[in-house]
Amino acid sequence: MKIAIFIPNWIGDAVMATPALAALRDHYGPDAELVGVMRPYVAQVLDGTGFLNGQLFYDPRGSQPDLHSWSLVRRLRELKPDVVLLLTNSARTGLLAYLSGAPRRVGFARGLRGWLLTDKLSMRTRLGKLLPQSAMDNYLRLATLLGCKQLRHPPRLATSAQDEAAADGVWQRLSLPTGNRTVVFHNGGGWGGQAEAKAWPPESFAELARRIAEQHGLGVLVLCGPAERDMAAGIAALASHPLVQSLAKESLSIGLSKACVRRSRLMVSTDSGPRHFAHAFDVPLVTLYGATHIAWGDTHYERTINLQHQLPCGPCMKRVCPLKHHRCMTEMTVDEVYQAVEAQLAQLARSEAA
Amino acid sequence: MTRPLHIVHTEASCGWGGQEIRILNEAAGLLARGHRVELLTPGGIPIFEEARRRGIPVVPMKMGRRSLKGMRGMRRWLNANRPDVLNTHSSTDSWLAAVATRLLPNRPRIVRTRHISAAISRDPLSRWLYSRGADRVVTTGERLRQTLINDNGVPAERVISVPTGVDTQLFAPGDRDASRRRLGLPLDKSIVGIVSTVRTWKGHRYLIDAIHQLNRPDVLLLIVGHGPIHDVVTAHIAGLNMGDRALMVGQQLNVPEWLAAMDIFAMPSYANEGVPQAIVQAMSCRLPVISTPIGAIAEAVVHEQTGLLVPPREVPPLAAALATLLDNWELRQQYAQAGRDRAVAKFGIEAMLDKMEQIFDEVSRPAVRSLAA
Repeated sequence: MKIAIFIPNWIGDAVMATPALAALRDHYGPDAELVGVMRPYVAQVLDGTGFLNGQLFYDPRGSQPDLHSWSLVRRLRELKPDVVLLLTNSARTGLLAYLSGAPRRVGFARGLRGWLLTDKLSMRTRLGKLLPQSAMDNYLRLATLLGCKQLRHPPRLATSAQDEAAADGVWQRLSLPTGNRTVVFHNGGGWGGQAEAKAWPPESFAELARRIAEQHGLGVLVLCGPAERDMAAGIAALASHPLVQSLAKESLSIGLSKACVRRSRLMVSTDSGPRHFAHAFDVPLVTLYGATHIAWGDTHYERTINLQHQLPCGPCMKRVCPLKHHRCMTEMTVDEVYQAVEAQLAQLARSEAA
Repeated sequence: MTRPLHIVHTEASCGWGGQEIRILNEAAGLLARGHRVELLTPGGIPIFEEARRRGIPVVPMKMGRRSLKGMRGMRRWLNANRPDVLNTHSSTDSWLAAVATRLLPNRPRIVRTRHISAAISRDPLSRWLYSRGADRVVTTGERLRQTLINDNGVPAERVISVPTGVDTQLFAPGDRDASRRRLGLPLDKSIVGIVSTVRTWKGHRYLIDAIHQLNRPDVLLLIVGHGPIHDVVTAHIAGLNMGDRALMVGQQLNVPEWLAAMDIFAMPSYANEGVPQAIVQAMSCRLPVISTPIGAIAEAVVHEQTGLLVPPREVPPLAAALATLLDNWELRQQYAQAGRDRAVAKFGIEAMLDKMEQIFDEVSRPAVRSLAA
């Protein structure tokens, strides 16, 4: 059995696809050829998981012509997959699946895309609008459509020795407490760091960090992507406490972020992709939601506390606040987030004592 | 959209009718929505064979009342397969499931679907079966739901009415004359029809008597279906010397075609009904319906909007209702169209699947710590 799987483009969605990948590997066994079709950077997310045994890179608008659509079609036709499974929702990938020549094409039908698929599911809508639904569940449903029987895989990731060495270096350079005595933060603005809608004010994160460092003697490390260095450095500077540090001056990679989350005691994050690393490594999590529906990124994680202010205007799912006040995030107080952090730390202490 | 779920249906009763069709439609519909669905049923019975034919995963399982072996078998299977939800459908399998899951760690949740409206005994055992023995009870109509709440003391929040969904594309208005030609039925007569298992409480006898009383040579009674009292009904027709005015054609696979050939659908049931699928199917095929307010029928058939409701077990009112519709073509058209609209809006398969999916998801959701603000 040879399956080409289009992996979602966003980091968080790629993590949410791992339960479906695990289910497929379970169902088809170690001999099946599961080939991931993905953006080059997404490969770093899945590195080391072993769910896939091949990958085809694809970047339709990138600078490398050999990663464009026609090149991918050619490579797919050479691969001759029995099934193309689409964990992506674009019309383009539907067309690519069709052009691959695979006899079975599985995915979500939206618009005209349904015509291109042989096995399809429809997303729940009301009056033509999509209802909030968990992407992870949707991917799993597609796997179930292919006959997968085990439906309760949690998200799972792995780190490489190199990632761990990079994290060791960071811990050493920033003098962070070891032995899971550090809390990690991520203040992702959302949508690849291109927007501000998901972010919590840096002053609030700084205040929270200082309290954690002072009250609990724990280290705090602010993670960031390449576009978020200034913001991360700002939080650490505002906190002005030796135990509060950031990755702003480090050499960044997705693998490093994974390794940092993996060795942390707790993660506090906005609704960003990397927050799913916490579930994947079974690290307790506090998530601060602003403009987005909790449902879309829900992975049914038992060790998470979700915080969201219910406002009449939200959740609006907009990248920038259309009312210019961004109250969903600015009104979330340090007190209430700290309370959730304390609850998680207390729970952790209880389970460690047991 | 809910999580993908592992749903197992159990059915011990070996009949073939609306109940079995609903189970298979639900199973197929939720499979197509990306859930894992299996059916546990004794091997060889009609639903077992039909499930196989439709490609629905089915596991043969011995199910006998007071059968310790059956219970062990089910318990072993459940323990090995760990479904999220068991949806039970008949008395025997409900008992087996309730007892077999009792001692399982993280037991699967039980949703009991009560398909018929027969009163449930109020003895403590039955009470246990419908309250503690099931996490949710699904009825096929609101009336049944109320009965369970009022007479059997099942907590209201645990009983949900989910009317049976009909495939409104398959059961669609057809060309009457073309269907009659294909089926070899006369073009120059008005056809009153019933599609149902031939059982006492479906009221075939009263329908035959009413047609007899009307005594109109231009009206033909068409009886589709087979069942335990088939011979009794045949004898009744012969006894009234109505061989030329009542036609029994037995069980038929192509039901929409037979419905398309009819002018009026009549089912004078007098007991044990939820919302009979045959009635909703007839409405979906754009037929006016004459029936009784038994069970939850009145939820489908709205008196003087989509058809006429008459008192059960009475011939003269039934004959009068038939005459009213036979003599008024416009009224028939009006009821028929309203019936089709109602069937599509309220009794479609997608609406049923949405509700069942929601129930299965809710009942099997692990209790989540609620620390959120």
